[in-house]
Amino acid sequence: MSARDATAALRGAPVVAALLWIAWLAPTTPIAGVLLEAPSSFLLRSLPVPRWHFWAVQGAQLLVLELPWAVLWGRGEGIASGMHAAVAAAGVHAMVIARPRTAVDLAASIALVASVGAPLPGPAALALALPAALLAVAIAWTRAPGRDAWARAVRVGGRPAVALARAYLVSLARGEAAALWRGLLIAAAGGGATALAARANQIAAAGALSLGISGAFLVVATGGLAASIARADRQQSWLLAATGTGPGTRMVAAAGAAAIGGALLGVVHAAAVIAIAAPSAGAAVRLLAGSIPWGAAVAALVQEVHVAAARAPDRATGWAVAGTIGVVMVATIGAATLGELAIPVLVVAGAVGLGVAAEGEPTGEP
Amino acid sequence: MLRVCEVGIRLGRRRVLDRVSVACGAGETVVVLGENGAGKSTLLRIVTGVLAPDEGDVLLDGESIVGRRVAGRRRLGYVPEAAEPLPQLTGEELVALVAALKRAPPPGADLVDRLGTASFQAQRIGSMSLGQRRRICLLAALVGAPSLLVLDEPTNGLDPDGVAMLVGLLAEQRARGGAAILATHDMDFVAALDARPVALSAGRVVG
Repeated sequence: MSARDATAALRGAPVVAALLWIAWLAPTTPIAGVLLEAPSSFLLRSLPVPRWHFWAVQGAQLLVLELPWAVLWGRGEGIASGMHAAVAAAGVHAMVIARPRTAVDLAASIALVASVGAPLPGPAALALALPAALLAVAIAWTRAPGRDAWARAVRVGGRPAVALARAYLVSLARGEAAALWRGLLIAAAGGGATALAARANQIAAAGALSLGISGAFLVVATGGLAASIARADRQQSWLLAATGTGPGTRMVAAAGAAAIGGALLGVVHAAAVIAIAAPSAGAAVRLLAGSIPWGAAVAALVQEVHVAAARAPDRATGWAVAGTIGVVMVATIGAATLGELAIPVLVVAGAVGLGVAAEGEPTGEP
Repeated sequence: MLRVCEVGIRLGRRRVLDRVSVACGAGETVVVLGENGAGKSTLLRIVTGVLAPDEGDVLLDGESIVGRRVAGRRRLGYVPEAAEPLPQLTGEELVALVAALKRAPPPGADLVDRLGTASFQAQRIGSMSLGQRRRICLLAALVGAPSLLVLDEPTNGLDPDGVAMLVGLLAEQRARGGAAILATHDMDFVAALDARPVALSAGRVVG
């Protein structure tokens, strides 16, 4: 399918076009957030430079980010449409990051959405989106230093391991959104691959196939989460040491937080398989019920690998990679030989790994 | 209360502490003084278990708190020099986390009022000023009424009211039979404390 065919098809199917816009905007929002909100750049605001210089630079950075999206529409419908796609996407990104709160914000948001949704020719859509996008970038830039200062409180309490796991998850959700989004996309891609493999091989019950394929995808997807949790653990190691929090509690908390993330990715994987392969209701429930503990166990094992690897700082990366490959092999071979029985086996392996990983004394050095 | 016995540590090629012994009794405040690089912060990090010494032991109420013997450390409260806990947590989430880890109740409203953290404790730590971070960390350190307070450069970033509040808190810690060991370069602050000085130089106790 050429770009021209694709954009023509999208013009004829507004719902699919809207979903595709969301599929582009959602995963790239964390990257736009990094571009617009890097704290290290806040110092530059004190320089005697007109503000529009900063807005121009930030806008240009966003346009570079939107380039693949602009190329699709540009090749499909011409240069004006391509420019509109880039400008509108940059404007939406900036507005999402700025969080609309005034009437002007709302008007700019409506203009951006209308430029995408209304059946306008490229130049008219560009004329509608351009001022709104410029305004959105200026607003996002202005609000960036104050954003994220306040957060809705999450209950970080309970038993020590539970409280610590909650702290890791809060830290992950607020500070590592990009890792989460990457994980979700990879899990969804694994689900798509599973559905296509099942269809190509005419497999009706995709349970074991799903486990085998998702093993590799979920290990990669949870790898980012595991690295983020391990980073949070290192960052507050002084606090954990000084509060008498032992290595066992730390390991259980880290693996527990990773397992919750892994279970979520398992749900996304199963949902993608169900959405594409459309299995029977019974098969869908079974797929979902298997994917949740499978994702949790895979994530816990990957987390344990990261903790164990961190004990040898000089070779941590090498050990982490080797351990991660090991988890992929165990999951894939287990699913291929044992089918759905591999799920309890992997859960037990995760629990055993927890005990082994908790044995060592993590360093208190951040 | 606290006994640091013949503690030594090498970081890289440098011997940072060489058989250092310090004691801090109940109701006593010890101020560790010394030039930059004398080993003050390293000593406090060993006391809190952040660093494990190569030799020697640290006893709190007669119980070793070095290495895997971590339970005794729940009786101490620590504010490090950098005071940088997880930046994504809010102040109240940090305090709740420390309370859970120490298996202690959260601090009362009177202590929150006294430390002046109520107005910003719903804010993320990463967006707080140095002084606000230090007040929140101090509040977290005071969770569970610790028998030993360990404070590294505690006046960094604090305004004069904050320093006066800290002097008052340390006086109360002494009055209720608790101990405190701190490292500082702030001699006005030291003069306001009823504290016993211990001088470190090149990793050794010199006075």
